[in-house]
Amino acid sequence: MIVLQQYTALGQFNWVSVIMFFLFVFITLGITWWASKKTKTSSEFYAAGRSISGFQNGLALAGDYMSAASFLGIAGMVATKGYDGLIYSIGFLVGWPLIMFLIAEPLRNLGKYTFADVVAYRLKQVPVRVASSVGSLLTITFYLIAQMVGAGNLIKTLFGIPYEWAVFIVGAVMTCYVLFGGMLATTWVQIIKAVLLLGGASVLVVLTLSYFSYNPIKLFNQAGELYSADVLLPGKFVSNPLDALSLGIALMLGTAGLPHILMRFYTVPDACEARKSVFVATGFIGYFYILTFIIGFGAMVLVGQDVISGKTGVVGDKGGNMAALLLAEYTGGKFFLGFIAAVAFATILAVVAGLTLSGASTLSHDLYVNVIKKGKSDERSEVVVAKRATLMLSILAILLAYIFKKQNVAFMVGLAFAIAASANFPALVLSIFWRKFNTTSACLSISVGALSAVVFIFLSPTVWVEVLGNKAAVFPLKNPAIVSLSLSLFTAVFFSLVKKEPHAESKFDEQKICTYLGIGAQ
Amino acid sequence: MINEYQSDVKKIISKRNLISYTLAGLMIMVYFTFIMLIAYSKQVLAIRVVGNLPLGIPLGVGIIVFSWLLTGVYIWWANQKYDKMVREIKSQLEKNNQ
Repeated sequence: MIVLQQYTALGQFNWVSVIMFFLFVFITLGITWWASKKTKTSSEFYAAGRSISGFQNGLALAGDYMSAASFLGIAGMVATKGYDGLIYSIGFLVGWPLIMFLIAEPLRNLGKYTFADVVAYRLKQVPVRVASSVGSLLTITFYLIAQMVGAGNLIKTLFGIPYEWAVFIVGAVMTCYVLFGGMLATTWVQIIKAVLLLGGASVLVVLTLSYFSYNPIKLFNQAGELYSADVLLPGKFVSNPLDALSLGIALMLGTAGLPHILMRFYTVPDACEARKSVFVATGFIGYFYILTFIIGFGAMVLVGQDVISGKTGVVGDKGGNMAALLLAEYTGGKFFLGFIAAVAFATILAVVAGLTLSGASTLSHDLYVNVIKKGKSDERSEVVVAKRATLMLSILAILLAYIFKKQNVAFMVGLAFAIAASANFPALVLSIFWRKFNTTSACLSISVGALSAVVFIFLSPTVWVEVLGNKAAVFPLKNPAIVSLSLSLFTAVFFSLVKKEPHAESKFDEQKICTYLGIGAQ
Repeated sequence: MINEYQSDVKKIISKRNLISYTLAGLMIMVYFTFIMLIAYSKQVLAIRVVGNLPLGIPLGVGIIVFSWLLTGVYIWWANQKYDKMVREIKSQLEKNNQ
């Protein structure tokens, strides 16, 4: 019989994690200093001068995508809810092949810095850029709030620093990366973080499996025996079929509409390297999510659900966010706990840096250069505006983290994915593949998708009941994607068929040459 | 300049679209079949495969591995065939322009 863990060093001062963390910050700021000398032009600031190789970008994509929420959150969900958590592990991966088949190469060939470049390629610049920016900024803001609030709480628990300080440190270090080192520094931060996270998770899995004579099946069987066979099966979480479908749509298509992920494809020299980077990223991310199976169930068996969910002991919480860390301590002691805690900190830093850079590119490249200046702006002022936008977004991120300190923000990741799936994804794909897709349908479908995702999630059980405390939800589904995507697609198709835009249609052939042959690509 | 080779260009565009749409369709089908299993017939996922291990777990791992292999199929095709066709068309276009 396994003895459940009672004592933990979590939340106490841990030399290993402090040293590890300072080492990480020291090295990454060194890289930022090096990158700052190579970051002068706008192409260098937004796209690292297109100098990143396919393999490097693949690792960086993995780093950008594997957030602390997916590492700690999914492990916790699996540990406390069993198989239901794995639905997320799988859902977070299946969008990547779609990025590969439909988006990566056309995006790289048609655009310069943002996905709005592609949507606006043959449409009217000003309205399309404004609409895309709204979709982009909403996605980024909700994702950023969730990450920052999560970061503050996590670091508070891990290191015992006050929430406000934790948020400020994350904000300040992240600002340094983006402001001085631009995309080049951000990319290397992502790469280092991805390697640390994949390495740390691998060691954690090996240590965990050593308790089960290195046989995962034994681990799963023991989880079934210790709790009930139900933990190995889908449970209440997705009891409603429409809810399951809606969540599936949000996870799969949302991945393919995240602005900070899409932006990374501009850092490679050409479409061939872009596709290579998706292959590499899918491999690493898939490997990581398979590890979450073992980490989650390992924590369930070795640490115990009661400790993880805070029923006994002092560290757990309802969401089980400390599951992976408690498992690290159980299997590898205080030293390994310190290491994994530092990795989690690095993960948060890297993800918020990627989000901020992507938001800054939308503000400066889409809104300032192409809307306010109508595309007539010089290099220097674009970089200046991009840096100002970075600073503004960083301050905003810190302020939002303070405002939402006591709120339950877990739904915001789901909301970000729902907006990405129903506003950004349809516009992007239709603009690449459908001749009749025009300015009106682009603007309206993005607006309808984004607005309906926000409104419906507000009225859904996730916010209306769990956050606002009302008795019954106005909108029945936990995730709005199935409705908001349908509305957005219907709008897109309707206005594409009703309204004619001859100029946009005639430019489609030229766009196709660029999409498929890369002729005229930046 | 493009007109002369338009039929060639059209051919590789439709080939590429066929591959892209087929693979994307396959991925969507596999994933949503899985989602539908969760929603409508949990008993399928409860079928025991090894000892007490229900099908749901290996199927989950299988979908992740399948997704990655599918991107592998695409990259293999694109690197081996597609890039070659694009290079040929481009060099012909360049010759014509000179």
